[in-house]
Amino acid sequence: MPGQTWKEELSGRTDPQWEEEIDIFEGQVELRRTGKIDEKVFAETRLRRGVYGQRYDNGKRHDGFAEQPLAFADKPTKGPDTVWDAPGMVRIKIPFGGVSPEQLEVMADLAEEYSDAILHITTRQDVQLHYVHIEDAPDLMRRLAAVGITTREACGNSVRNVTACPLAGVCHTEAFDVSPYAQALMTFLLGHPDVQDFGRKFKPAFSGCEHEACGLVQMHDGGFVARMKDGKRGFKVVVGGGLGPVPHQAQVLSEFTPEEELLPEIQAVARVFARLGEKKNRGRARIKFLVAKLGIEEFRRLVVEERTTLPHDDRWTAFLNDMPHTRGEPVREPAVLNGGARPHGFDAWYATNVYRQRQEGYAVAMLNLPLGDLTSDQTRKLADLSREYAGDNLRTTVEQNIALRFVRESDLPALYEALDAVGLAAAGATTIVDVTSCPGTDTCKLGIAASRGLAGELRKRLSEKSAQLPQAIKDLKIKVSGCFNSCGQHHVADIGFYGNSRKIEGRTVPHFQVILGGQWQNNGGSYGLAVGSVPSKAIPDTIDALTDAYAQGREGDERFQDWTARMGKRSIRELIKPFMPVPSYADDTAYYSDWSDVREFTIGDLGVGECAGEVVSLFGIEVVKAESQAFDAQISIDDGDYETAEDLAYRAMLSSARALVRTEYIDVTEEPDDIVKEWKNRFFDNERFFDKYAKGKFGQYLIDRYANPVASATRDDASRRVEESQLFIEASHACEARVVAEVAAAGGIELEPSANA
Amino acid sequence: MSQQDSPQPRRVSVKFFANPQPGAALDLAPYIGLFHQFIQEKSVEGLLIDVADYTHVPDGPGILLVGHDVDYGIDLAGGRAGLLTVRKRIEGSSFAEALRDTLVKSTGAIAAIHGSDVDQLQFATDALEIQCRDRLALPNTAGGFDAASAALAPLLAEAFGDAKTDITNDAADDARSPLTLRVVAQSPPDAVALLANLRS
Ligand code: SF4
Repeated sequence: MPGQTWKEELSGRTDPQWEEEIDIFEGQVELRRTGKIDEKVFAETRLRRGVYGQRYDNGKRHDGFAEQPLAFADKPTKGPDTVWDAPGMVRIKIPFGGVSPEQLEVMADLAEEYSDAILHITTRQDVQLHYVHIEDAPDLMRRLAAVGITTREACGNSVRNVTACPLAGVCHTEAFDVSPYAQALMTFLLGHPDVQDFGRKFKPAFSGCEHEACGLVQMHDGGFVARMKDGKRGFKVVVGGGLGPVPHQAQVLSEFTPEEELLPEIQAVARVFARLGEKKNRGRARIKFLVAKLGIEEFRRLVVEERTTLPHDDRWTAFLNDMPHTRGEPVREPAVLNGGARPHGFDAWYATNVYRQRQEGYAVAMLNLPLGDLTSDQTRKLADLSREYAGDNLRTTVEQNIALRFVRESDLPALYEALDAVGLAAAGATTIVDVTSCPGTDTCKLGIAASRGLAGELRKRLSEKSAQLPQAIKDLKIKVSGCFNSCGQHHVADIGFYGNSRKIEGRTVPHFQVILGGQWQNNGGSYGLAVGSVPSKAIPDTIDALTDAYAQGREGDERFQDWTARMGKRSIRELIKPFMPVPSYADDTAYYSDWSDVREFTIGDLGVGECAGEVVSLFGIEVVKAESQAFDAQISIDDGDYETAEDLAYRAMLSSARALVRTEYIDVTEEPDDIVKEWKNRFFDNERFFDKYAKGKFGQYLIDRYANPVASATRDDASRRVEESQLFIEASHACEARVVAEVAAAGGIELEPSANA
Repeated sequence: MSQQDSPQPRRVSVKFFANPQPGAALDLAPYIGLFHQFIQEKSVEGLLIDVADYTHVPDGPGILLVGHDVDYGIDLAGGRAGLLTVRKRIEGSSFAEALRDTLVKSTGAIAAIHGSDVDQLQFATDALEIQCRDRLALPNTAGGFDAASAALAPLLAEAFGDAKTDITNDAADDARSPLTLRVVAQSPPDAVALLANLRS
């Protein structure tokens, strides 16, 4: 007979500490529901338990005509501006992506009972469930905890999921299997007192080798690359990488940290970050800013010093004693693929979705999940197939797929047929059709454009013609983010996009910034650069133009990244230019809505008065200068002229700020002192430039650069400044749109008289 | 079974299937527009929030109209298109009461879809699939099936009138699936009549 509650039903089947933590969380839910604890305190608690907000949770939604209130019951909020009953997202941490059939089955049940029967694999190997009600979260956590999964610290200012290469342990090029170390790091840091006081999140990643993509450690706050030295295991440790609005490449903290020093070293890093990292300004609070500010030498010195003060902890090395060096056992004896009959479609799937393991006779079968989604029914079937063919050896991947490892090669045809029967045998894993996307406007509160809508459309179109595509095109990676925050990891794609918008004829049009030439190899070794913003509906044609030009113009085995570098930004820009214009609304309304969404696109109220229209055109004309300067700055980087690039990028920010100022004060001079003073007075100090979520982060870029000129710019300085200038320009567009809206709401605009009048 | 003993699931669903089943090339895109229209015009019951496009998932939720207390979806699970209505966050209602409410919402949505310009799918009432998506309240066991069938029978008599109905256990072969009851009706009333019967 089942218990009355999940708490009773699962009592004694869970780690007592986890059980207690979930009970406490449930108590906090009740306290907040009855208004007994502060909304901000509860919001931080909730995030640290992996319970996140979701789009429209402020109780408002634009229905295509006007913003409408969503008539939720009047209850206490679950965070500032966050309605209690509005659905939210739960992020489930899957350390190094390692998941068992039993865990999959539980997540399938949870998706069915509390979500929309979809499990979504994220770009950090987590699983997300959407549309979850806050009051269901404690039971959801209990059921996960009973199979050894926690959502603790999956969100919030904490150590996030520890990611690792899905091939760890079976890969041909790795130094050794990093998964047990990833597990040990996760266990050690989960709830550790030294990681509770960060100003922002900290994302760790492990990689088995340097040169493949593996764990993408270069774009992580903390990265660990397996290395052998004198027969001993250890890690190259890097810190301060990150994507987001201004991407940083991680820097080397240590060329070789022996395995027994791994945990104390990261503990020392955490303490330094907690003590010296920015706390007030979220936009500068990631560890990358601290490393950049201090310089890696000083940061290293502080970590070494901190290490000497740490009290000894047995857990630093305890995990080494009984650590399994491979995780999970094969369920069948090895056997190579024999010459037997192959089902229809098998060869194409085998060519793209199968990796032959280091262990003779075994292979990894990669499931190419569309946009990282699979249903509860599919998940249960997958659990069955895993038990039959792969045992416990499943891994989620940062490309939003699932890997079945230790499949006997001779079983691959049967596995393929079984996967095909449940819609899980799509070929093209990790190729151009396997488009990665963040949630974007589907569910993310920060999304600007429909990244999933675009990714779904691209997947459909590219799948239809994939058989005809040249191999060089098939091998490309496309990644899409709904905004500049880069959750879709667009910086490390051959072709990346992030969502933005432009005002055309008083209407807002969804666009994507095109980012080309990011490097997937070498652990995400370099980032792509922006070449221009294209209307969302023109992106498929833009991709065709770019890939056709690459297929025809590449020299020998030239990679896409090298081709874009050789072509130069100016030529690439010429390729995408024909797709940049937006037809008038009268000619084509399709441009004015987003993929998979028929509503007229909006990022706010669209009512625009006639006078305000003049403001748009004035700003629109002037901001073009800023965009050209930012673009020229990129070209200077290509030419190796970093000082010019850095200066041009700064001037792009000044031009953008001036364009805004001139909407109110037409006679502002071109002097930086004058521009910064006026812009700061009119737009920054009164927070008109502030974004709802990023606050003053992008404006601060101009203020910082104005106050601290760079004496001799390096490539990194120049690249960072270019990124900053692009974000500043985007923020200026957004600010201008808000000003226009305010003016329209007030019934018109009055230009301030010239200061000289 | 007394009302007190009767299971009180937090979530139940009802799926009416499309007849005839469409071919593989079904274009669900028009339902995105229709569901946005339903939100704008409040054409179906419930607090409606947004539309999600899952057409990229094979045999998945298709197009989903997400609400606070109820979701409606042009669902493709099991390779069969149908209108899936998921009643969520049920508080203190018996299984039969929850199902009655779900059937009312579902038949209302069918009427709204049939009355619209989007006519790719017509939903029949001769077969429906009922799921209890609450494994604690109503597990997928022989006992769970007996309890659910007993609670369902009077409701079916009320909704389907003289039409003969059969209930079978559709997930008996997989204890992990939610308890799933398949109802087959001979010469059933259409959705509008079903709705009228349930409301009378
Ligand atoms: S990139 Fe932007 S839209 Fe996408 S998930 Fe991150 S914050 Fe949301």
